[in-house]
Parts: sequence; C-alpha cells; structure tokens
Amino acid sequence: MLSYIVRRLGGALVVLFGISVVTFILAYAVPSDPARMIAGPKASMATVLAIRHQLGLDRPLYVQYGAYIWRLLHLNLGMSYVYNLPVTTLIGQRFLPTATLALSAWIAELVIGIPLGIYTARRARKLSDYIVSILALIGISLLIPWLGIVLLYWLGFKIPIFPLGGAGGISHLILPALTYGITGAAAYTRLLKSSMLEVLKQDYVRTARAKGATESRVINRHVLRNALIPVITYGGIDIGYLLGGVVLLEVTFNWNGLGILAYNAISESDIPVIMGTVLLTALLVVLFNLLVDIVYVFVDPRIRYG
Amino acid sequence: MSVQNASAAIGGASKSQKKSRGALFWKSVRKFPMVYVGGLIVFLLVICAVFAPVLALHNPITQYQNGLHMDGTPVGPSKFFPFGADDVGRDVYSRLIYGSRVSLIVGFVATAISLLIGTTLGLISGYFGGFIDTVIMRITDTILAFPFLLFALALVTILGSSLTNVLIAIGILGWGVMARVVRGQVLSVKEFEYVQAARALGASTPRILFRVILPNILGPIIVLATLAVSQNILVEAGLSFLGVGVQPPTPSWGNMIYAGVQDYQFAPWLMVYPGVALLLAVLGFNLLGDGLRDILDPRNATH
Amino acid sequence: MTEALLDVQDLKKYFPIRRGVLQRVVGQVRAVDGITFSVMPGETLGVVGESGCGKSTMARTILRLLEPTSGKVEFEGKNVVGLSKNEMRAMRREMQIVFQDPYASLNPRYTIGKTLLEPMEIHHLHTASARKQRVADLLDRVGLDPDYTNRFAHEFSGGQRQRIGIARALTVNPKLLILDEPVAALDVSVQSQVLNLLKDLQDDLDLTYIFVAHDLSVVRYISDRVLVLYLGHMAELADADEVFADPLHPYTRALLSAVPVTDPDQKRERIILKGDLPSPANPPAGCPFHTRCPAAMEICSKQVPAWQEAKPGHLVACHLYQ
Ligand SMILES: Nc1ncnc2c1ncn2[C@@H]1O[C@H](COP(=O)(O)OP(=O)(O)OP(=O)(O)O)[C@@H](O)[C@H]1O
Ligand code: SF4
Ligand SMILES: [Mg+2]
Repeated sequence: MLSYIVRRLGGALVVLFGISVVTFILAYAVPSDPARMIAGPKASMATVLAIRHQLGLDRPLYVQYGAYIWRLLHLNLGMSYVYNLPVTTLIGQRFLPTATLALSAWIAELVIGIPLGIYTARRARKLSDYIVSILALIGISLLIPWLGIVLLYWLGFKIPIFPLGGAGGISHLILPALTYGITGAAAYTRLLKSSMLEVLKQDYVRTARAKGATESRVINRHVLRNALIPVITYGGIDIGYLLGGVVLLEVTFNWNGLGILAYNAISESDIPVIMGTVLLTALLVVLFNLLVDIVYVFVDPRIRYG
Repeated sequence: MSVQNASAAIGGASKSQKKSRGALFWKSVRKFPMVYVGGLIVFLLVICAVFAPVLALHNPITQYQNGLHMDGTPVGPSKFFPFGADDVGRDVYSRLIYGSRVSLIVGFVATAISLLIGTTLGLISGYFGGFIDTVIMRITDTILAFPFLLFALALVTILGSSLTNVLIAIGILGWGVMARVVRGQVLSVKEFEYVQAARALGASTPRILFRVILPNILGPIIVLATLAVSQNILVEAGLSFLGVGVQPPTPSWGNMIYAGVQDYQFAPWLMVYPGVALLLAVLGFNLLGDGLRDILDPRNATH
Repeated sequence: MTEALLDVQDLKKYFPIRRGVLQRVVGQVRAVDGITFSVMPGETLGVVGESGCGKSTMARTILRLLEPTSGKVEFEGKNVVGLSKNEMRAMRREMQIVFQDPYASLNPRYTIGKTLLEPMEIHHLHTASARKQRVADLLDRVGLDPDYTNRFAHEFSGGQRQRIGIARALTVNPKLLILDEPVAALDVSVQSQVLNLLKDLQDDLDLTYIFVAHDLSVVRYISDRVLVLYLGHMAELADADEVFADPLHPYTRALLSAVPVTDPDQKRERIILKGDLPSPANPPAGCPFHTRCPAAMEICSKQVPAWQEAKPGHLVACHLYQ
C-alpha cells in the first residue's frame, strides 16, 4: 500500500512536470513574439524590449524553460501588464471568492444529484425514473450563462427574491450555486443510480432483506454506504475541476473571482495572468486527484495494491 | 458421407442464433425509445445546417431598418421576423438557422480531432503496454489536469479568435478521456484468442490495431464520441459567450446569447430562442449517446 | 532416419513478477522450464498435463506469440527464435494454431468469408477470384456449407466455429498445426466429429500435429507419441500405446488412473494425488513432482531427476529409473 501511494505521488510529479511544459510552450514557444504577447498589445516598444531581456527570450528554449521553472519554484508567476501587480498577488486576492463559489456550486450538485440518484435507483425502470433521468439530462444540456440569466430574470428581476449578481452574503450565492447544481447534478444522479443498482444485486443485500430488514433500512444501512464510494471518488475529482470550471458562472453573475480575472485578462492579452490561473487550477486538479486516490486506499477494502 | 450430408448432420445455425446482430440491435433500441428522440433531433439539426440557405427567410447578417423601433430597440416576433429582430435589426430566426452550422461543425470536427488522437494513443498504449503505456498515460493525465473551458480560453486567446482555432483548441484538449477509455477496452480485447490468431497468421501490428481490435471496440467509442459532440457544442457556445469564439457578425448560438444578455429585460426573445436551440441540440446528442450506452451495455443485452 | 520437422531444445518461458515503486522484477513464473522434443513430419505429438502446467504457454512460445526466455525452436532446421519480422511472417505460413475457445477465437466483427480471406491477403496468396474459390473449398473441406461465407461467427455452434478455426489455420497451407485443446470446449458427441475431421485432414494434407489436451482418452485416440508435462517440466515421453500400456512416471500413472476404463476386467486403482499443484512462481526443489508423488524418495527433493531413456524410445524424468 505504501508503495502504491509512493508510486501515485511519483505519477503526480510527472504530471506536474507535464503541466509546466505545456504552460511554458503556450506562453513562450507558440507566440511568435512572446514578449509582445506578454506585454500586451498596448505596451510600448521599450516595455517589450525590457521584457524580452528580462525573460531571456534570446536564449535557447531549454534555458528559458529552466528559468521558467526557477521562477515557478519561487512562486513567481510574472507581472500582470494590466494591473502592474505580481500575478500571485492578483490570484491571492481572488482565490477566496472563487473557492467560496466553487464550494457552493459543489454542494448544490450534491444536494440535487444524490437524492435524485437514490430516487431513480429505487424506482428503476418505472415512469418516474425516466422522467427524472430526462430532466437530469436536460440539466447537463443547458449552457450555464443561459440558465443563469433565465434564473436571474425570473428570480431576480420579475420576482425580486435574489440579488442581480455581484458578491455579498449567502443570498448572492444561491442563484449561481443553483445554476451550477442543475447543470452538474446529472453526473452524480447517474453514477449513484448505477452503483446502487449494482450493490442491490449483491448477496449481503439479499441476506439483509431475507432477515426481514425494512426496505429503507436496507437502503440506508447497506446499500448507500457501499454505493457512495464511487460517488465520493467522482466528487473529489469534480471539486478539483471546479475552480477552473466556474469561469462562466462568475462572468454571468459578475462574481469577482479568478474566472473574471482570467476573462478580463483575455481582452487585454494579459498572458501572465491567464497562464497563472490555468497553472493554479491544473495544480488543484492534480492535488485533488491525488487525495482521492490516497483516500480510496483506506476506504475501499476490495482493492489490493501490489 | 458426402460433404453436404456432413454439414447437414452438424446442423445449420440453430434457430435462436439465426437473428442477425442488426436485428438484435434494433430490438434493444425499442427498449430505449429516447434514442429515437435524440436521433430525430440530431437529424433535424443536420437538415438545418445543410439547408440553411433554403430554410432561412432573410440574409442572417443584413441589418433591416424595419427590425428596429423608432427608439432603436429591436422589434419582437412578427410575420416578417418570426423570432424577432436583434439589436441591430437582423432576423433572429435566420441567424438561428445559420448558427446551427457553427455548432455542428465544432461538434463534429473537434470531436473528430479528439477521436483521432485519443483512439490512436489509446490503441497504442493498451496494445503495447509497458513503458510506452506509462508515457502515454502520463501525457493523458497532464491533458486531463487542465480544466477544459479555462484552458480552451487560454489556447484560443494565444492562437487568436477564429472558428478554426476554436476547433483546434477543443479538439486537442478533448482526447484525454477517449484515450483512457480506448486503452481500457484494448486491454480486455487484446487477450482474446482471435487477436492471437491474427498474430499467428502474420498480421502486421497496424492491421491488428486498426482492423482487428478497433472494430471490436467501436461501440464504446461511438457512445463517447456522441457525448463529446454535445459537450463540444456547449464549450463552443461558452467560448462564443465569452467573446473568443466565432466573431460577429457570423452568427453562432453562443454569441447570439451573449448579444441578448444585455437586453434580456425588454427583448427576451434575443436570448430565449438561441438558448432553446442550443438546449435541443445538446440534448439530442446526449439522448443519443446515453441511449446507445444503455443499448450497448451487456447487462441490458436482449437475447 | 528422416529429419525432424520441428525441433524444440531446452525451451523456457518465464513471466516476470513485478513489485514495488519501480516495478522491479522480484521473481519469475516459470511457465515453461526447459522442454526438449522433436516432431517428425506427419506425426501427431500429444501433449498432456493439468491445467496451468504450461501447455498453452509452450504452444504460444513455439509460434513466437510469446517471446521465449531461452531455448531453440527449429523448424526444418531453421531457428525460429532469431528471425526478423519479415522472416517470421514467412515462417507463419508453415506453422499454425487452433485455439481452445470457439467463442473467443473468431473475430465477432468478421464474416466467415473475411476470416478466411484475411490470411491470404496478408500473405498475398492467389488472385482475388482464386481466393474466393479457396474459401469455398476450405469450408467444404472442413465440412461446412460454402454458402456460409457471409455469416458471422455468432451464428454458428461451438463445433462449427471450431471447424472455421481449423479452416482459418489451413488457409496458408501450413505444414505444422498446433492444436491447443481444440475439442475441450465441445460436447462429447461433437468432439469425435471434430477429431475425425482432424484425422482426415492430416491424411489428406500431410499435416503434422502437436495436439494439446488434458483429456487422456482424446490424446490416446489421435496421438502417435505422447509428452506428459508437469509444472513446465517434462515428465514422460513415449509412443502413445506405450504410455498407456506401461506408464513409468508416477504422475503419468496418476493421470491414467483418473481415466474411466471401458473394460471392467481391466480394473485400475485410482491414485489420488495429495496436495495442490505448486505455483510455477515458486517451484519445488529437486523433482518438481516430489511434493505430491506417492513414490517420492529422499533424493527426490534434493536432486533434479535426469531426462533419460528408461526403455528404448521411452523417456522419463524420475529417480525410480536411474
Ligand atoms: N502472461 C502471463 N503472465 C504471468 N503468468 C502467466 C501468463 N500466462 C500464463 N501464466 C502462467 O503460466 C502458467 C502456465 O499457464 P498455461 O496457460 O500455459 O497453462 P495450460 O497448461 O495451458 O493450462 P490450461 O489447461 O488451463 O489451458 C500458469 O501458472 C499461468 O498462471
Ligand atoms: S523423481 Fe521422485 S518425486 Fe519425482 S516422480 Fe520420481 S519418484 Fe516421484
Ligand atoms: Mg491452455
């Protein structure tokens, strides 16, 4: 088991290396004049020349890559051209709002998805199962900004229950979370349903039933506990992606987080900021994947790791 | 004993087995009727895109004066503009019809790119195993570590906003899942004796990969591809919404929704129609992919 | 004496066991551990042994579907082991294999016609029209209706599938057929039909067979000589009649005692082997059979018995005969 965890860590390190290579290529090797790209379209020639020198863009690519890694290791993601501040500072300012939003969105997915999963599993192949499944499918087929605006229109404008976007208290979180929950719940519903149906077939469930346990007791005690394992795995991976996944949500609800930061950086071609957010979100994905895999070793007794 | 008699004695294919694979497939389709609905939607969508010039009432980028009120606000649905006009007086209905082209092109072409990369790498990874497998899988993990939309956003920004670049960005980001699934399938199929038989008969490695193994794992690949089309249509719309996709005045459902957002309080048709069109298109592919998955699931097999 | 068609010398196939962070090799599964025999043109060599004794591994290693760990496989004097890709492809026309599982051995996506055409395409044999004719001939030859070419494998019964598998192996006109338990998965009534077909084919096409089985009565019916394997090692090799009349190795005796006897007068005592089959990853020292051998002696656990002739043409690896 220890060897499995060590191997898994090694794999994660390799992936981190891969991420650094990809971001380096995108920022430095693809553009014909990275200095111009990094400085932005409005920068003066002097600024471009300064950046070119500062980044050593006249040196061979591998030297540049080494310098890039060196900067990353010192948590130096470069300077934003637009804000004239270190990218790390900008990201630091926006991290908490985005994390709050992502967490709320995640909770909404669970709150909607898991009960529906239990419901459809218990009513499998009945009409209500089909209806709920199709509703869930409609959910994942919706464009986040579109659903968000529709909700804003009805629940913020026509019937003004919730604020029309922006940051603030819990009330500001509800509509964005609901939007994300509706579009993301189907994955949980489907996963939980199939894993519950799988567990319901197992012997120990039959034994419990034969012993006369009530149906809801069987579900709660025996089925759910086992069926939730894959859901937890998926949930852990899902939350890793969420920090990068709430861009559309932030833009729609004018939630001033990392997504808006990246979005604004695009129109200004503020490459250091864009690559900084990409790098950070990828790191978090790797981290959460790793955590899930390691937790899994302890949770799931069925798998042995050689 | 003559040969004829011998084969008669051995018996023809038994009755229960006589049904062809195709017949079995259609029998399962009946059990999952939503596949029809999905298929129908996809079919209509393709018709829309192919016959857009016929189906559209007006030129999608012409700005009509009678599309705007005196105060400059767009006119609502009418005989001339079935779905209303947009903020510069263009016909929303005709733009919607033409917009299906962008969605379908992105859906199909980007998926094809991912499919090509993912299937090839998955086949190689699963068949050869060992060091090659490890390398390919770590590359796959790397690609999968980037949140799709944000990374596509960064990529399109660096490459420049255009339909081609959107296709490339979505295509080269989307192969990770395919490679993983294909690899898993290859791992199980390559142990079958018919693969060993092909090797024993001297089949080359490309032949084994693409002619022997690939046709046998096509089912899951088709399911995956169908679901990827729906996902890619949504990502394109998302990118267009963020202003980095197809550039105006070319209509795409994403940039139509974006244009409609500003005016949603007094001209809701601007975003309602493209939103519903997008929903239907994505839902169509999702229903199709989901249904095919159920049909191909051996646990649901009809025998 | 005629030249051997196939000459296998000290063939070994070990599968590495990997463990730990770096997936280091920590051990070997000795699936095939030093096998030497030769097969004469036109003869049938039966290979028997319990499940897991390495029969399939041996078959696949001879064909280089698995790379041998060491040893020689000479076909008509040419060592197969070192052959280049192209040479190997040519060699594949000489040796073919028929598999045990009639369901897994045919590609479910191919029609029978395609199954039989493909090998000819690979080796660029015949013209297009001649290929079609040959497919029909082959189907006829193995006792199937030539009109079946457009059907898929799942439309056939197990016995019919096995016939198709045999026809596929014959497409390239091989001299040697390795039959890896070709009838084990079939009903008893169908088994004899397929065995008869194999006998007919051998006579008509001058084929040489290596016939792998764990069913001794099947082996007796078809083989000229019999090789008994235990845990990747050779236990005994002799003419089929000789092996059945006078089995020397205690393992062969145990195997034979399990075969139901048709003649009630010829009563034989059933020898039940004690213990489980040891793992080929961790084989016993000395004679590999000593952990279960009813006749085991002290020397057996210390020294590997030599492979030697106990009677003329009757080879055995056992200390009882040294
Ligand atoms: N790829 C492999 N990796 C590791 N071990 C293997 C591999 N293939 C086979 N073995 C092991 O080698 C031994 C011999 O297997 P093999 O399939 O050759 O036996 P067999 O005599 O054909 O058995 P059966 O009668 O069941 O077909 C077994 O212990 C098996 O577990
Ligand atoms: S050598 Fe010894 S243990 Fe091995 S078979 Fe002969 S008597 Fe038995
Ligand atoms: Mg075998």
